[in-house]
Amino acid sequence: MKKIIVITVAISFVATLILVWSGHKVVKVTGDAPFCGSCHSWDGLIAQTHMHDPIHGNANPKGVQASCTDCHLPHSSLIAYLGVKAKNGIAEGWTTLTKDPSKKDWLANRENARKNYTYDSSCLECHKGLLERASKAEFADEKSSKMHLKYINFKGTKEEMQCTSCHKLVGHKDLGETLFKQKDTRPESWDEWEKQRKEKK
Amino acid sequence: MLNMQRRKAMKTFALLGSGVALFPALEAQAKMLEKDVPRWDEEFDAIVVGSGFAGSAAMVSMMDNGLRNVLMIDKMPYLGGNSSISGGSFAISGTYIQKQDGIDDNPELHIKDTLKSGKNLNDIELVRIMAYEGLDSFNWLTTNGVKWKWVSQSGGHSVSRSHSAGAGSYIVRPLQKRIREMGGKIRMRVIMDEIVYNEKGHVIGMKVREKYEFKFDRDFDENENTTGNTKYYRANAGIILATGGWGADKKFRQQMDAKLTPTTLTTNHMGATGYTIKKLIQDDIETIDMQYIQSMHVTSADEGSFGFAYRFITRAYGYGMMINPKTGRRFVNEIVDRKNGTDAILAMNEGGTNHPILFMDSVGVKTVDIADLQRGMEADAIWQFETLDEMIAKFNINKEPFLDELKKYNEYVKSGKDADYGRVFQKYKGATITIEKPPFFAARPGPKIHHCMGGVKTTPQCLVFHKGGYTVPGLFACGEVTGGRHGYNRLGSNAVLDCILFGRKAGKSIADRYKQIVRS
Amino acid sequence: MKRVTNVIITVLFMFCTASWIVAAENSSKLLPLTPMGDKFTAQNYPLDGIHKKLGLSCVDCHNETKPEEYSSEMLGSCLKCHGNYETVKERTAHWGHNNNVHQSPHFENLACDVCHKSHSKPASNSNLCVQCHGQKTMKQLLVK
Repeated sequence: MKKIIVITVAISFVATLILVWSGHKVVKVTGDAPFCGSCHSWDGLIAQTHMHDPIHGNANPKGVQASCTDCHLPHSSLIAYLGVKAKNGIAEGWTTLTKDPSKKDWLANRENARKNYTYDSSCLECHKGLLERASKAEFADEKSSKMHLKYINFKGTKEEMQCTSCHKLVGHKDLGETLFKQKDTRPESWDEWEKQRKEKK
Repeated sequence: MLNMQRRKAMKTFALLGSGVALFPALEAQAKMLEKDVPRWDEEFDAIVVGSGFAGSAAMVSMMDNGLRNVLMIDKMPYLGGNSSISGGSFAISGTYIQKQDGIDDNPELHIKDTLKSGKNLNDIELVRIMAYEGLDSFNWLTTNGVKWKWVSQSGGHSVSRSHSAGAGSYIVRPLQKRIREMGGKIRMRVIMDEIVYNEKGHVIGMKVREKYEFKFDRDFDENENTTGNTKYYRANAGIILATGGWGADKKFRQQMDAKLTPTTLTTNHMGATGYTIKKLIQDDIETIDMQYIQSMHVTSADEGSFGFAYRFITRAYGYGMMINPKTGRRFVNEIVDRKNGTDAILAMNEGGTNHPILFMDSVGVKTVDIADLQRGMEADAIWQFETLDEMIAKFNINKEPFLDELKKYNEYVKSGKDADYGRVFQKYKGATITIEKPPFFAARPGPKIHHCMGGVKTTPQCLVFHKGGYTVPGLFACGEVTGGRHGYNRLGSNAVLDCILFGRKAGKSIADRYKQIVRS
Repeated sequence: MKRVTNVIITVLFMFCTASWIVAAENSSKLLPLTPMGDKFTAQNYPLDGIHKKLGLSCVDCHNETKPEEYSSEMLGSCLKCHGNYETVKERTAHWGHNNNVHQSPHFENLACDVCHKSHSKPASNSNLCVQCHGQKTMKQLLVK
């Protein structure tokens, strides 16, 4: 009897350990650049703009950087995080398999991404003390305090704003320019011009 | 009886007095004197009015010569005026770039070209100074941070001597960077209303308006702009005028040349008005050649101002052919100077309804930077055609004579002799270029008012002449606001040479005057 | 009696003349004049868009001490919130180099108010570039 209990407990303990460890590992691996960028060659350029970002990306001189899911998944709760992750994972997996990246208007999609695929809870996950700071008297003169107080006041009203309503360029350096250049297929030299003409024929 | 007469006389006098009061402008016509200044708001060693090529060069030069408490003002909310939007080409012989490209050139040839275009109405001494001392100013720009991109041949020059920095602002901005590094002050939105003279007639300062709000409306008369707060600046050694031309001043330019109507387009920015030159004339400053205002013909009729197509058009004059679509024939040597080119086009374009067609083939088009070509095409000012028939159809060209003319042109290029117009065909990378290989690229040149050859009369050291024949102590001038250097017509890229060279001289002259005043 | 009337008329005329001349001399001062309190209200200088939503007041942008001295030259106060010119350039880079109005090869750090007028709805195209560069893509860019 004792033996069975001990073995059951030991096996369950080890199993739980393995499950939790591997679950955590999977969530982590599927939350950063190598994984995100692996399916979508289309997102490749977008991921690169993140790598060149000197504040939130890999080009930060202090070595601090945000991973894809640090911003693009909600951090309000574990359930929200896992739930949206699962939903988006399936939806995006389907889109990658069935749709054509060259037909998508990436430039226009930036606004959609800002509105629906970045979350205030994710910004505030790192920038924890920001809103509290805005309400403190000793920081009242900072211009950011004035603006963040308005954010707090507008919350829950029809004037409600997101972090990205004002902070539009976070995380992806020169995204607009990069996407424009990607769309612009005009030749940049006379040699390229000759090549394009030959290919058209 | 006497009472009645006296009453009548008094009434007439009073009416006259109130008549004067109804025209306050008359009051402003008198020169402003020191005693009229209620107080000096600020004091400087010297002040430069205008922030383009000439003004910036003058500032750097006077600071290099020891002046420190100096100010450059510009009435616009941006710096550099026409200089900033210009092509930024400097014409001079003997540069290292010419030597690299194997171009054989010398100052005498440069003088010859300049005098030919100016119909010998130029002040020969000033032209000699530009041709012989210009190389020093060219090198001076290089040491001050200007990077040169290429050298090409501009209309009227017999060889390639126009060195381009890419855009005028790439010459003005390095100079202004140096000014700030040396502690010189630069202020925008400050307009000079009056020059202040002391009782000896020396210039000692100016009346300005700060926070001047220029009105961006081509039909608005700047004299009616009353924005700004009046201030008085003292300028101990004097002032340098570098206020540029008046190509955008519809009223004034037509007073100088009746042919320039209000609907004629211009390459100039809106700030190029006659505001300052009119004041100078009222102050009895001597002006010369005011009737010579140049239009340039390297701009496209399909763009509203300087636009993008000019780079293509400049090259196309050298490597392509221009025809009158109605006749299908050429009508001028494509590489003539601006005056002859403009006149030839105005003679055939039927008031702007029959624009000429200037085109090159795919070999010729490679002399143009591809980005410049694309900009011109995006602006719908340059077209690409896979066949000549497409081009003929688009512009309604008279087909038979046109094809004959094209055949003749290609023969001329191959033989090296243009029997119709005497054009000398330029070589690109060692060979001349015909028009044979599709696709073809075309644009429609349309002349636009560009440069005012006339202006204030100065000495070679940039001292300004009064109508009485003597120079006004404390008053200096350089750049487009001066006259005499270019005579009847200016050669392209001689302006940057003029502005930089004489801007430096003006800076040195005012620094010398300052040292004189301090010693005494 | 007639003589006195004459003198009075003459003096009056001369006084008018003198005051007109003085008024002409002062005509270049900044308008408007009195009354100061009534002129500088939110009605006369309305805000639009995001500046209105954020409820900005005069001193949030204007650096001068007195309202009569306010001018449209913001002396860099726009950049107190809008970062620096690099950031502004990045905001409009998605139009491409030829249409990026904040990346002019001609003018460095162009003053914001040359195009952006906060207190009045701009004419549909008061951007500076389109005055010379009238390509279709530029004409479509409306100043916010």
